[in-house]
Amino acid sequence: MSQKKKYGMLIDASRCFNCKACIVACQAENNVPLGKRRNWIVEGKLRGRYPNLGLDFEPNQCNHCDNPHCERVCPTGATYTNEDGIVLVNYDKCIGCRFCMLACPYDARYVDEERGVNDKCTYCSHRVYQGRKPACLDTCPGKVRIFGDLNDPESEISRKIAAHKTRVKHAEAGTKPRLYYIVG
Amino acid sequence: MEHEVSWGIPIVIYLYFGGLSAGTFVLSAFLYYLRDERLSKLAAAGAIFSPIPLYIGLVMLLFDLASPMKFWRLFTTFQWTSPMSIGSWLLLLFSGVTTLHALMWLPEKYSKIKLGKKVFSLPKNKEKLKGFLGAIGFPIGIAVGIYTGVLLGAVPARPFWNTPMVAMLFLVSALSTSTAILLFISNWQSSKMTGEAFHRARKILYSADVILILFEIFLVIPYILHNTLSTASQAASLELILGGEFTNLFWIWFFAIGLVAPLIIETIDLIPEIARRQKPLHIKFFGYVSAVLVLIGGFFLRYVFVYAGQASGFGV
Repeated sequence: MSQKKKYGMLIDASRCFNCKACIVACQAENNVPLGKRRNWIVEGKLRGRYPNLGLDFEPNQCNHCDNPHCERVCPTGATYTNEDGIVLVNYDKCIGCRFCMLACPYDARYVDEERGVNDKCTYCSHRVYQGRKPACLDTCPGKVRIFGDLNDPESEISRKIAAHKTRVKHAEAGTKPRLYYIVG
Repeated sequence: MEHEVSWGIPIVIYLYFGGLSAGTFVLSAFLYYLRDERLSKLAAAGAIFSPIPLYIGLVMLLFDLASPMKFWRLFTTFQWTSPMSIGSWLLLLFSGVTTLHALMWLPEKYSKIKLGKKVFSLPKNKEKLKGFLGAIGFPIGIAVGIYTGVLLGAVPARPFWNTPMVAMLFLVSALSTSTAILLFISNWQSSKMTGEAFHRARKILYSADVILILFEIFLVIPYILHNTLSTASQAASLELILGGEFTNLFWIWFFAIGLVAPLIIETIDLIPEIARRQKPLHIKFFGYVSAVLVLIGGFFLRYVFVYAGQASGFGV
């Protein structure tokens, strides 16, 4: 197939039980400074009536948007989208102005004070280009995440998206996010 | 998830000082254009004052970067979708124009500038250059004043900022606070001005400021109405100033102290002139008070917008 790859991620939040292995894996893999995070889990409200109670967890991270606002507002062109759809930072160009942090509706960007740059999730591109999966997938005991090529209709992620009802977050911001959540 | 504050006090001051610099330049250029000898002191004050807050603001901006030494990266590219990139180029242009403009307005005794052993003399035909630089800098100054608000307004992720009215409000506030600066200076230097010049300056500054403050009030009210009727996230963001954390700062420090109080003082001063064509009161003390109130209000406008904007969002 000659068509370009377009990487995306699908999250089945119903499988998440907030063990945070994805956060630890990401921080270790990417040397994320202490106190910062590239992915995080939002705890929902307790629902139901005793004894039939439920609690929702929603894993979050960079949406690798098709129209990334962090890239749009970047004054030096440091934030860019790879041809495979992964939104990355050119650390030589980043001056650490933090405009990207304000422009991101998902709060997915952070300052790495030591390096003086505004960093973000890279979908572990260094692993992906070696044919491996992002670190947050490898350690997940609930198999919450599916990562793959959205342009390939035979990929696992494309088949799952076709088979399930999915949603994206804050579509009203106009960012065209590429991080999908299974509904229901 | 609580998100960290990206832009703090240095950015508040930078946006404020950038507006003051642009505003005093624009007012100076306009006063010079009126060709009124009585206003020349005022035009000089604006021209010479303008670069000072700009330099302070730029230094604050520079050291607010996580990598100040890489700031030159801003000037190796032009990103037309980034208000900050457009603004950086505008500021570069404006700082050059306002610096040259200020040099033209320096008193005659400073017309030779020593740099080490070299002595530079300023050109003789200063009047022409004042007009020329003023004409070029006027639109750039207006653009800088607007840019300080566009910087915030162009971010959909922060609903509190995301309306074009923020840019207009920041521009009008920049002009109003700059009027206050000139008012303060004319008060302070009144002994060096003739009575006629002082009254002329007073009348034009008060009249301008009353108009500008009215513009601000009638930008704030539609801003509130507009956001109340807008998307859920924008309506929710208004809570920050309608009962939330920034209510007192916005309504007392910006609206009451920074707009309504000086509007009343300045209007009272103008009443004799408006009503009976008499000379206005021009009580010096009230001149100082209204100038300081406007300047306080201008600061809190930026403070509230910078911080409240960052506290607003689409939720988790």
